Amino acid sequence: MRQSGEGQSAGPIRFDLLVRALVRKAGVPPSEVGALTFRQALNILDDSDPSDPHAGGRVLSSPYELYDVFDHLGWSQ
Amino acid sequence: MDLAQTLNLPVEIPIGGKTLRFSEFTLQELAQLQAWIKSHVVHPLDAIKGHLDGFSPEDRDRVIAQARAEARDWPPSPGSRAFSETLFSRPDGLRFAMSLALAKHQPTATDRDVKWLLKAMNRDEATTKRIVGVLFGNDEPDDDESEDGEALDPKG
Repeated sequence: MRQSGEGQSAGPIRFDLLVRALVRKAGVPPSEVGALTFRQALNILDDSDPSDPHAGGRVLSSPYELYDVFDHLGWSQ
Repeated sequence: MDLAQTLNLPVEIPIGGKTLRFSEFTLQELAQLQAWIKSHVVHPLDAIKGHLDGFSPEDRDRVIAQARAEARDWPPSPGSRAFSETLFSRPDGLRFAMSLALAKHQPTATDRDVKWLLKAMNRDEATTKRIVGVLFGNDEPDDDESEDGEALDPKG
């Protein structure tokens, strides 16, 4: 998990949005969200790889990329 | 793609003559760390109460503005600089974090083991960086693994 403020500034990671997206968009049972790492959560949400029918494949690692995922999912604020 | 990393398999890290296993904190564990901060660190606005006497108006405004800024993201979000600084600037915060990390893959570890680990980390900056990197998902390949060790002996 990259420190926000390093490189591109994305502000604090919005874990509330992350959890919401995991449950509502990715269908992760709420009881299982806590067992995921940040990296695994981003990997589940990432659907940027058109060759991957299961919407995974590229591991994201920064808050900045998290917001790209949210944009793609239509979860931008 | 590193499958072991993707599945968050524990990484063996030699330190102080022992080999310990660590893996990236889960969201639940990050929540525990944040909850620790919330319950052990004074809220930024409470921290300045009673400490503004003697400040010039300009300094007073600056201190209040900084406290308000910190209060907007309180408790600090995991992954932020404020989170790391708040947690690791306090010996009890560092001890709590390492206790959580150690117990995950060394379930028989005791408080004594945590104290031992903190001392070992204090003597080995490079390995400490590696451990923290694994815990927070910032781990990068490290070739400096010359020290072979034994598995953690809770009594050792």
